[in-house]
Amino acid sequence: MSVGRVFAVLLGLGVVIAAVLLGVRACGEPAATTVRAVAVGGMVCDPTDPEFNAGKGTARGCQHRATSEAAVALDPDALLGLGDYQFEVPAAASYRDHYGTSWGRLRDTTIPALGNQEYKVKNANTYRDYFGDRAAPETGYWATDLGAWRVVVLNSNCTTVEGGCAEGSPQWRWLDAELSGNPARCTVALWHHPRWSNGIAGADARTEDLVRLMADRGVDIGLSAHEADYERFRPMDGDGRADDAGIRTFVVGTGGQAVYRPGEGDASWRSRQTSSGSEHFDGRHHGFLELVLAPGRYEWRFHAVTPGTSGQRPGGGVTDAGAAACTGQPKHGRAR
Amino acid sequence: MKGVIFNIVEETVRAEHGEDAWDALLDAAGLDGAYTSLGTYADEEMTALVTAACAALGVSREDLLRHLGREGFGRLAARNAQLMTEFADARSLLLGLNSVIHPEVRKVYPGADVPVFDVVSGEADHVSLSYRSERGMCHFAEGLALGAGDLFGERFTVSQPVCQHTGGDHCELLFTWPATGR
Repeated sequence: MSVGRVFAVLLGLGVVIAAVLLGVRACGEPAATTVRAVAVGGMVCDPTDPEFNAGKGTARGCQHRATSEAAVALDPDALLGLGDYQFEVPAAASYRDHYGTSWGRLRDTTIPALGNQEYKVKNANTYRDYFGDRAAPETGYWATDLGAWRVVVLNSNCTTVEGGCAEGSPQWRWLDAELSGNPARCTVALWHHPRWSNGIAGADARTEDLVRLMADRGVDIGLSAHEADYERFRPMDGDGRADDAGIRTFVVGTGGQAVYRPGEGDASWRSRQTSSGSEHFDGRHHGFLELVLAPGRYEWRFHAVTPGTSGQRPGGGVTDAGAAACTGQPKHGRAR
Repeated sequence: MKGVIFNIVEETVRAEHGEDAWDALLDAAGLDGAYTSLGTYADEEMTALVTAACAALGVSREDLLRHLGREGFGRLAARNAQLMTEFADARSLLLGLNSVIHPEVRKVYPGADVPVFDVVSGEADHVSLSYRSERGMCHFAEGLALGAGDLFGERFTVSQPVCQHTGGDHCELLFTWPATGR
């Protein structure tokens, strides 16, 4: 065999080996996928609620079955749970019989944040028992992957979580480290009590330091509930000022239990707590937020659910929608 | 009025006067007494219960409402222990009635018609709140505040310089802490 022929054979082998190795590598890496998630909190009525109506609800409330029906029909890849899953007392039987048969149909893909209702039971034990390995660790904050996105779950029950939520707390330091480890990814964060809101509770400063950190570090979407309404804010910095590179927050507390909008009696004290930057507010409809999380971008759609009359399926439709690119990079290497 | 208020009154009556006392009170008031916490019931039913209890115990309406509020607060706090952790003391709880307590009440108990407490003044040694409600349960509100003081181990005085039961169009609740009482 000539030297030239040997060289050609070796070159060919090299190409084959390289192709095989590259192929293996390509197969070994997770493909960049687009996922569909639904996000919602404030879900299931207590069975003693006058509006419960054997789980079917009334025009006034307890629409967890109709709302979850519409969400299940989307066949989402994940349910981003924003807390307050089961009212009035989150008993194990209620989780099993009422949450379990409505929103619980998405239990196996749920990423659940802790609301305040969950803590009506010591250590949120019924929540932990129900969600099992889907539930948060004891701290209530952790992170996971969802398609090409990073999902950060926080515990905004700041007087319950060890060390609270302020800058320097264990949770704040964990978040700082988490965001440092994933600086260029698209990130969605979930926690229960909204930093900004024009609902009946209004703005809530308990997560101020956590939200400032997330806004500074390029977190794209923040999802909360607690209020019984839907609200979307423009991207903002940690101080609530318009900032295209800031965090876009949603309040989605419309999972079926109740919906509210502030009344005249709220005006006098709420005037000190209103939040600027609101681009859409709906205190009339139950519903949920659909998020399409793609590499580098996302879409949102709020699905309002109108209770069906007797013998009819529930109706409704998309009442708020949009799309945006991920902010891409943190604005600051380290938070203030 | 939401059933949870009837529930805490029932619990107080049973605890202080025996298991049969609640049924006797219902009979005296001409009520059947099936109250669920999330249900909504006529204010007149509470009025009838209070009237019957005052007659049975020989106490004034004001004193009875104040007592029921004070005892009831602890029962409400036990049902909402995590919510109570959001307050460092009774003063912060009183100042958080509109912004924290009542939004939570309205969320958990849909249809709850909560009273409005406007802060007239809030200084280090006193808090003054105006209470406006068609129910006029100023003394029950006073008792609830005293119950909050019990929860946090505080002693303060409460007065009503303005009261809708003595000609005012609202009640003003003035809470005053002694210099060494906090």
